[in-house]
Parts: sequence; C-alpha cells; structure tokens
Amino acid sequence: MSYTSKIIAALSLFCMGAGLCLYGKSTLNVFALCFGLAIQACSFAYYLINIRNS
Amino acid sequence: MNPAPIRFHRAAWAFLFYNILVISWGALVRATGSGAGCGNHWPLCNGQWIPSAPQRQTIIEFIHRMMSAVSLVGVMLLWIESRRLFRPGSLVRWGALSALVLTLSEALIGAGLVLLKLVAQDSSGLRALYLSIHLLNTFLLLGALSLIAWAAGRETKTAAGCAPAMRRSSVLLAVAATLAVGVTGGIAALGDTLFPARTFGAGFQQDFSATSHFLIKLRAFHPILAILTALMLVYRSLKGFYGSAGSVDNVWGTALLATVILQLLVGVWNLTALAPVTLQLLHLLLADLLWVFLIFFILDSAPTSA
Repeated sequence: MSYTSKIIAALSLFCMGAGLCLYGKSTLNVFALCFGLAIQACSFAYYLINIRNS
Repeated sequence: MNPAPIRFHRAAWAFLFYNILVISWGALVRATGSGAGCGNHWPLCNGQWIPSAPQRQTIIEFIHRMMSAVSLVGVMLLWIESRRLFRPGSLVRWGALSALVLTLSEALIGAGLVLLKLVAQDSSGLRALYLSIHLLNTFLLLGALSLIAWAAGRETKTAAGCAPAMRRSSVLLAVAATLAVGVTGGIAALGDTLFPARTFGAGFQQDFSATSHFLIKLRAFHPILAILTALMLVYRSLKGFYGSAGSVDNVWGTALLATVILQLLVGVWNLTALAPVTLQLLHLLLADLLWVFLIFFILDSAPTSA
C-alpha cells in the first residue's frame, strides 16, 4: 500500500497545484481542487472501511 | 514500548487539538468578515511579511495565517517522524502523508479565497463552492489526524474487500451524511453572516421566499439534513456499525451520542438567537468534535483480523 498512498498523494497534490496555477484564469481551478479532494476522500474512505484491529 | 512512538502518539493527539483551534479561528475570520484583512495579498499581508499598524480585521486574519503556518510545520514534522518510527505501509505513515497533502491543499484553498476576493461581503456562487471545498478539506484533514492519533497507539492493518457489505454501507452513509451536514452548515453560516435576519420569523420567511438570495434559500437545508443525520448517528452510536458494539461498550460511541444531542440543542439555540458569532463558533467546534468522535467510533469498532 505504500506505493499506492504515494501515487494518491502525488496525484492529489498535482491537481491542487494545477488549481493554484489556474487561479483567476479559468473555472478549471475549482474542478482541479474538487478532483484532488475527491481522490483524498476516496482513499480516506478506503482505509476507514477496511481497517482491522490486530 | 519504545519512548519515541509514545512521544509521537502524544504529539499526534496534541496536534489534532491544535488543528481544531486553527479551524475555529478560521470560522472567526469568516464570521467577523476579516477574510480581506490582509487585502488581496497572499502569502504577504497587505504587501508586508508582518503588517504595520494593523486594524482589528488584519490582526484576526494575520493570526489565522500564522496559526496555519505553524500547523504546516507541525504536519511536516509529523510526516518525517512517521517515516522514521513506523514501518512502510503503516496506517500512521499513510495518515501523516495524507495530512500533509491536505494541509497543503488547505493553504491553497485559503489562498484562492483571498486571491479571487471571495471574502468579506462577496455573495457569489463561487464563494459558496470554495467554502464547501474548504470545509470538506478541513474535515478530511481532521479525519487523517484522528487516524494518526488512533493508529499510533496500536497495531492495525488493512484488508481490502473484507469488510461486510452492511458495515461498508453504514460507515459510508454516516461519513457522507456528516460531511454533507458540515457543508450545508458552512453555507448556512455564510448566509447568516451576509444576510442577517432581524427576527426569527423574518428569517424563516426569507428562507422560503422566491425572491431571496440563493444563500438564504440554501440555509433551510441545513437543519433538515442535520436532524435526519442526527437520528442516524444516534441509532449507530446505540447499535454500533454492523457487527460492532454500540455506545454501551464503547467510550467513543458514548462521546458521539452526547455530542450529537448537544449539537442539536446548540443548533436550535443558534437558530433562535439569530446566529451570533460566539454561538456560530461553538456550533462549529461541536461539529469538529462530532466528526472526530465519529471517526474514532468507526475505527474502534473495526473488526479484528483473523
């Protein structure tokens, strides 16, 4: 899972960064922010559901 | 247990509470209309690193930025330490990386609010959208920090696709509904700040008037959704998620139950008192605590691996 979490983090940061670069130029920045956040939300939900106590 | 992980565990708890404080201060920025306190400059404040002769609004906004900067440094340290102390693939490592990303995105969203001038008296749809994204990001950040604080003190693992379908759906529904209540609450608070009602009756009429601003119309959704979600959370805290114990056996379930009831009472008080700043802050603080308790309850009620 360590590689998956790194890919998720890089992808969502890329989307957030793209959102920042597009500030004031396009409404695409909102979509980029939403997409980045959606990736984070999905990965959070995944861990929340599948966690096991040892 | 090695003292370093114990220190990490304590630091994670302290950092979680510190972030709740930062979030509450952020609500104060919005409620007092101080978002433009530093002009449309970011990261500088009115073109300066440290504002000279600041007004009250500048001080409020500047303190929030400083608190956020400390939070960024804190989460970076947490991430570095998590890599040093926990094995690859550990839930703590994932939580710390996620918290770091969410803190960075929180800063980007905050910058967007300032740079796009979605502050002070702006009542555009874009502001409502940004505020919703901001709030979702905040809640996910608190969720990631809660996960670190919880997982740092015990052995855990994840097992893909093994959760019973009933548990999956009940957990997802509770989380999604709580997030939705948070977002509608943020929009309702923005409506209350921009279009304050003079009396409860006048405010109620405004909510259902065809000519009202969309922020006022959206305000009505919050209490309806909040009551429905509260009923679900009370049920879950008493009965537990599928295959888990309810509040009778779980301290987080009891905390969740108590917070839901208290939050409902404060919500009614906030509504009838026409949303003064202090009650708005208390309402948000309880919303943060309710979310954190829900996450802890879900985590604590997770099945034991075979």
